Amino acid sequence: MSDQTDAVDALQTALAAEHAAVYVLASLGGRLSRSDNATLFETVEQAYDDHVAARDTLIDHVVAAGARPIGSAAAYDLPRGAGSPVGIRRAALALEQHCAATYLSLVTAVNGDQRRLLITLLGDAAVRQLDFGGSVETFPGS
Amino acid sequence: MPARPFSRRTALGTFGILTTVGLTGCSARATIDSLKAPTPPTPSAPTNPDVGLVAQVGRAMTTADSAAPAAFARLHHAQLSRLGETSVASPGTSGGNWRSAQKRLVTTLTEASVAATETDLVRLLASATAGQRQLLRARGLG
Repeated sequence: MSDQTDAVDALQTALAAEHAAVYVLASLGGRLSRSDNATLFETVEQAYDDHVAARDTLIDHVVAAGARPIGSAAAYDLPRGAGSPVGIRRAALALEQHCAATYLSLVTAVNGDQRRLLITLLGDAAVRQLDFGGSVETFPGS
Repeated sequence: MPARPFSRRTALGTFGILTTVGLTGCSARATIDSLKAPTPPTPSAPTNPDVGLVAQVGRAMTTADSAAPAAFARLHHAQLSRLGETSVASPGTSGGNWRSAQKRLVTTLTEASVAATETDLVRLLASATAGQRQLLRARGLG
């Protein structure tokens, strides 16, 4: 497998993770009342916007690499126990931890600006973990 | 992530093994000739650029931590331990600009990860970047 193929595969894997994140966060947000849980609602909404932006950026990079971006699945498994604000917060934290781990696993498959992008997205996911009750880690994503 | 820290010994050990294997192929005649010939200058070991990167990161962290809250020094001590590097106290070098210095570390770590060649080191530096961003956010700086 060539380095170029590895890089495109890595970007597509990251894109697949973002498609899933967008879907899951939209579903979690739909289970929240803006009036009853304003802070959590806004946090989920901000995370959703961030993941939409990340998805679009990754699509641009895949296209720039000469490949066709993969599309989203028709549906994704939703986390169990996300029927309450506490469960929604926990599910969102798990989602961000999964995204961070995914990005960290992919950084060695890309170089230059593509690696910078994945490191940035890894950091974004790590920071959002704090918004959902996570704590500072020595090595997020590992 | 493997528990084994990245170290100069890891980087240089590979060169030592390769050198030893190469030398066993010398003939007896060559050995005799070498005894008669003037002693050639000792070739220097090839420089592993990753070793310089780790040292550069260590220096940047030490400088940034000199006037920063202890939480930063604790994080960086743990990160440098995994990188096989030790932090050395360097009082007063960042002064009142510790906030800027800590923010610059994000760029330093990112660029070190982009430049690194050894896969474990790439991941450790990428993940350390995310940890730095988390702590900055937790301190209201990111």
